[in-house]
Amino acid sequence: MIELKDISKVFALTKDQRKVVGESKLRPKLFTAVDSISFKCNASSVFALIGPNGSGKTTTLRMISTMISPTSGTIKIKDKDVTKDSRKARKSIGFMTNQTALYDRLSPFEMVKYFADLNSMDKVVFEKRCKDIFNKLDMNSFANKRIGTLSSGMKQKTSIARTIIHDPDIIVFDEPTTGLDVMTSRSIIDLIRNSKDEKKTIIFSSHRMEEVQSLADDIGVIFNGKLIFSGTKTDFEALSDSLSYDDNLINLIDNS
Amino acid sequence: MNIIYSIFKKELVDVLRDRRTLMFMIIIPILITPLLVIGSIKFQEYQNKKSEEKVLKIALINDSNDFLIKELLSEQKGVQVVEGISIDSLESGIKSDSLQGGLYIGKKFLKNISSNATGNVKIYFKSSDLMSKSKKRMQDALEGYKQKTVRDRLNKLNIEDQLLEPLNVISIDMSTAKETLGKAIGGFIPYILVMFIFLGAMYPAIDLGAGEKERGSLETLLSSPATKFEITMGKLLVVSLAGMVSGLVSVLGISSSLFFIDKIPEQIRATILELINPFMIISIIILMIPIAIFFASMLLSISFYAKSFKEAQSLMGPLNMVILVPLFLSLGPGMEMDHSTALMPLINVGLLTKEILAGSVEPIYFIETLLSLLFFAAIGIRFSVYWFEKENTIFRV
Repeated sequence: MIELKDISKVFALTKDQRKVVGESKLRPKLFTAVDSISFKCNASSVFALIGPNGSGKTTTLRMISTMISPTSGTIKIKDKDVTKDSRKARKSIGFMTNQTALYDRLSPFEMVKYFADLNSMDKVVFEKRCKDIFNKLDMNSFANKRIGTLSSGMKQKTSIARTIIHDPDIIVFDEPTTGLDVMTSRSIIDLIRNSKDEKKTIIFSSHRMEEVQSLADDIGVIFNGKLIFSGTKTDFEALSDSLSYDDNLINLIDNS
Repeated sequence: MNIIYSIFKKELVDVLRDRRTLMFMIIIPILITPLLVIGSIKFQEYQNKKSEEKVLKIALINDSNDFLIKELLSEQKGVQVVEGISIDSLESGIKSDSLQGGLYIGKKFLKNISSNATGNVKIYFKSSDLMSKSKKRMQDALEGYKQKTVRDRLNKLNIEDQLLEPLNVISIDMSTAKETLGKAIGGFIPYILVMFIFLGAMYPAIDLGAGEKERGSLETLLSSPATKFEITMGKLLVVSLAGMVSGLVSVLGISSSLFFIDKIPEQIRATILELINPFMIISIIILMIPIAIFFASMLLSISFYAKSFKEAQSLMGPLNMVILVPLFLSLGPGMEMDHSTALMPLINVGLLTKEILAGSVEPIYFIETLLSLLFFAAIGIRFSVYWFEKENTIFRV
């Protein structure tokens, strides 16, 4: 289970960023990306974090993954504060984005082995799990080829294998299917479903409402750094009987 | 420690499979440096030969009855005496390069010489023509004239030539050939060494910092249990190693190139062989370690900060020139190795390399230089880790 309590993240704006947001030199140089949000992702369920671009989704997911620290508030994974032992927290997390984020000059096997080593996996355990994952994802035919020479589907499978090699209890997906074709998106959706079946806790951000509708158990809507809705899928659907997920989201944002 | 090793191992494999890095780390130092050294020496030889062989047209305007100057001038190798022209033509001829020099002897010249007075001679040349030997050839001819005149005057007075030569100075150079050559070669070896350590480290640094940022793989790496310190250290070790390999290969490249130059006398060749001994190689390697770590830390910090591969490259360009300034200073007059200069980074490298190659290095200066470089390397590492730990740097887009 993941629990966020009063989480805020304030960034100091760079010169370029101040220009983009129209800040003058006289006005404050700080930007609140996430503003005192609280929600829970229940164990063995899927939590969808939705909202427009720049609303604070990625910042929230990066804080959960301990890549960045919250300015205030606490994040607990299995009742333990992640800021106190972030390395231990990261061992139980798998993180994935829509970018495959792989090393072109390594092979899929080397890539997966690298992340197993970073997670200090036992050699025997790694070999067994690697074999299972490679069989399951049908990766054996290209396991030793350079990643740079692989198709985007093969790269996505490698990225999935890298994310789950250490068998994390929690998987964080940051807009995992944005910009991907239907086939590649399907492999990610299957991964989310399979992970749920394996009783893992999943949190993902997305702009694709059909994915949210089919995968999420709980939904959080974030806008301008504030959580404007948090509840079950049923709660979200109950916002309006006749409207679609897209319309519900737009209405929530308009009324916030 | 295991995680640092895992990162180091992966980054090393990654870097060794990158053609651009291999090009900068091994191919350029091993091929380009010898070609550069051999090429520049051969070019210099060719230019010298050309300038020696070139026949110089030197105008002579002689208003006196002296014929000796013309005779002595004609005896000079590669001189064609041109006569019968006016002063104006002489000046315009030199300006337009149709003449390389000119000599004007006035009417009273011979009279002055005969009456034991001073005869005036004007020589015309272009100092901007650096390769021209015209001034030297005219002066050589006049020097011959001067010596003969002094001898004749002394003979008339029945005075021995030695009267004007009270001292016969015999110079005995106590430097060994190794010392002389070591100090001479030591002048440019640090340039090559430092430049190639920098160049060899630059590409891997860009690839492992800004490159990872651009590919998005840095984000996934940060989501692994590796701490930012471990990630920085793993990358830093690979970048430092790449710099060291590049530096070492460049020195070996230069050393090997010296054997392909025909005109090096056998004695000098033997001296060079003596210079490249295990002590010299080990000393240079020890010296390279902190330099490479220092450069690696600086380059990685810039690379972590840069948004893209391109930005990292443009930020690192000026640094390339900055590192050469202290080395240039170490070649300045009066720059000697002492307790202060041994602590000045890069200046100490320039001075110490000369001492190592000359075989005259004092252990205390070696230790001081090493400690100074290690101190700066440690500051570099600390800065690099601090920089990588900053969220604004890592997620700067």
